[in-house]
Amino acid sequence: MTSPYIDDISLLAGFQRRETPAEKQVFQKYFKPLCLYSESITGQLDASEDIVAESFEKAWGRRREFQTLENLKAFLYRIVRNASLNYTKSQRLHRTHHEQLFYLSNNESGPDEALEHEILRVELLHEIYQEIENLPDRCGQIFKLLFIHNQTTDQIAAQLSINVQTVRTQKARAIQLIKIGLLRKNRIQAIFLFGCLLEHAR
Amino acid sequence: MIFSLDERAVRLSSCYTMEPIKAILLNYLRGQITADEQIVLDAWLAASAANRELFAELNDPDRVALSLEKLGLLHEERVWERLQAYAGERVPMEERGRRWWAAAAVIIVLLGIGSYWVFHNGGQKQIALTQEQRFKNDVAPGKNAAVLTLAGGRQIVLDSTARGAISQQGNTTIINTTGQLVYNELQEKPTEILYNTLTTGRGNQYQLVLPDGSRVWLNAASSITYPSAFTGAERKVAITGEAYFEVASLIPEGGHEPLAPKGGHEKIPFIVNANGMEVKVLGTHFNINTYDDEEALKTTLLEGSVKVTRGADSRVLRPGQQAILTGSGGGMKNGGEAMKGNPASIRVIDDPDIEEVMAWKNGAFKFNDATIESIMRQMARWYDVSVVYDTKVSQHFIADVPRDVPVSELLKLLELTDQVHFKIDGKKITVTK
Repeated sequence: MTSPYIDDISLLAGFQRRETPAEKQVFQKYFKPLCLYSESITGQLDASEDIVAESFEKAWGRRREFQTLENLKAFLYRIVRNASLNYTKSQRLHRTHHEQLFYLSNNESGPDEALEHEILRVELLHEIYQEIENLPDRCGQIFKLLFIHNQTTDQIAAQLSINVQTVRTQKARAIQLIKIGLLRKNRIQAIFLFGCLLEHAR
Repeated sequence: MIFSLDERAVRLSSCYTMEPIKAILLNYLRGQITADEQIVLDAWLAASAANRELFAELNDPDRVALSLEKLGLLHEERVWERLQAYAGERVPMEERGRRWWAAAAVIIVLLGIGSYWVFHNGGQKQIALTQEQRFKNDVAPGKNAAVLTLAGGRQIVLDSTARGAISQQGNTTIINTTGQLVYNELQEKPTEILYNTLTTGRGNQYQLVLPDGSRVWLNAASSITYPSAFTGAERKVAITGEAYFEVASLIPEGGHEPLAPKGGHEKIPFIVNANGMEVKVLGTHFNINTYDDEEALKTTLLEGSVKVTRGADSRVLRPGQQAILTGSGGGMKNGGEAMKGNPASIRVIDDPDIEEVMAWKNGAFKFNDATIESIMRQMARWYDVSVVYDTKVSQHFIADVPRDVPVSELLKLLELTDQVHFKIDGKKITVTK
C-alpha cells in the first residue's frame, strides 16, 4: 500500500491534523526501533512495548509542538530513554550491564551524541529487519524462520521436510552468506541463497 | 573530485544528523557501497571507537540475528490498537492548553522520570523531616523590575511606581509602562547618540521597545546596552544573560529619512553582541542564552534568518535551529567539555525544544530531560536564591510549571518524584536525597 504522504513534511502535517493514516505511518516508522532501544536499556522486551506506547501517548498529546518529524523523533527517543532508565531503577535490576548503561546515560558529557548513536544503531537494525521482511516469499520464509522467529533446527527441519543435520549445515552457511552480503536487494542473490539451502536439503 | 570527497568526510564528522552515514552503512551491508562512500565510511570508522563498535556489531551475524529476533517478537498491531483506544479519550491539545494556563496556581504535569517511578514503585521512601520542617520559609517568584542606566551614568529604578515619560535621551523619549520600557524616537534627525543600559537583577525581568520598534524581553540577571537612536548602516546592541528579540525590519519613516542604504529596500542589519559571539539579523525572532554559568551559549531562531559568528567561524540558522557555542569564549562554566576537537566551533542542531527555550518568555519553566543542576541554575536566577548540594542527583527531569508561583510549589513538584528533596532556609536552598 502506498502512502498518501509523499514526504516528512506532509506526513507531519497529516499527523498534526489527526489523520489516522498519518498517525499509523508515524507509529510504524518509530515503534519497533524505539522498542529495541528501550530493550537495550532495560533488557526487557515486554516492558519496552508499554514504555514505547506511553511515549506515543505523550507525543499524541503534544502533536502541535513538533515543528519537524525529526523533532517528534527526538522527543520520542528522549521520553523512552527516561522511562526506560526509570523502569530499570524501579525494577532494581542489578545486572552489571544495566548499571553501566544507567551510569553512562547519566554522566556522559554529550548525552545527545550518545543518543544519536543509539538511534542510528536501532534504525539500522530496523532497516535490516524490514528488508528481510520484504524478501520474496519463499526465501523470506527461510530467513525469517532462521533469524527472526529463531526457530530451532528441529522445527525448521519439520516444517521444510528436510533432515536436521542439513538444517544445521544450512544455518552455518546462511550465517556466512549473511555476513558477506546480508541484504542484497538484488533478487538473484536471494534466489542464489535459497538455491543453496535447497541444494543441501536434498 | 578528491576535494569534494574530503569536504564531505569532514562535514560528516561534525554533522549532527546521522542520516548520511546511515544510508552509507546500509549500502555497505547490501554490498552496494561506492568508492566515494567507502572513503566517507572509513573516515567515520576512524572518528570514534563507538562507531567501530557499531560497525563490528552489524558485521556479526549472531548479534544482528539476536536483534532481528527481538524485532520479530514485538506486537506492533496490538500496541497500535491500544493507542487508538487512547486517542478516543484524549482531550484536544488546544483545550488542554487553555485549561492549563487558566489554572495557573494548580500544579501541572511533571516529569517523565519521576512519575514513572512513583506510580510503578508504590511505597514512598520515608523522609526523616516533614516538608514543613524542611521548608523554613518560602520565596516569592521574580517580578517585573529593572534598572535603567542613562548615558552619563544616572540610574533609574524601574518598577510599577515609575510610570510615564521618565527621561529624554537626545531626541528620544523614554516611557515606562507596567514592566515595559518604550523608546519613542522623534521625527527629527538625532543630534547625538547616547548609550543606555537596561539591567535586570536576579528575580527580575523586563521588556523593552527599542527606538526602531524592535522588542526585547530580558530575563533575570541580564542586561542590554543600546543607543537611544539608531543611525547609520547598522543597528548594534550588546547583551549579557538571556534575551528574546523580535527585531523590526527598519522602514524609514515617511520616506523622508532614507535610513536604508542607497538603492532602496535593503534592510538595515541588527547586530547583537554577546559574550564574544555576534548574531546578525535582518528582521526576525530569536532567543539568546549567554549566562556565564550555563554550559553553552545558545542562539535559537524562531522566525527569519540570523548569522551567528564567533571569531572566524560563522553559521546561518534556519527557523527552528539552534547554534551552540561552547568553550574558549569568556566565562563558560564547562568550557570545552562538551566539545571534542575544535573548542571554538559553532554547532548547529536541528531539533532544539523550542518550548523549553521560550518558556521563560511565556512565563513558565519547562524542563525537558534536564539535570537538577540545570533546573536549579534557572531557579537561582528567578527566585534569587543560592543553591547548595548535599547529594548528587543523576536523574533527569521533565517538567512544565508556571513561573509566577512561590519556589515551594516547584520544589514540591520535584519532590513528588522521590528522587530529590529540598530544604529552604532564607534565600538558600539545599538539595538532598
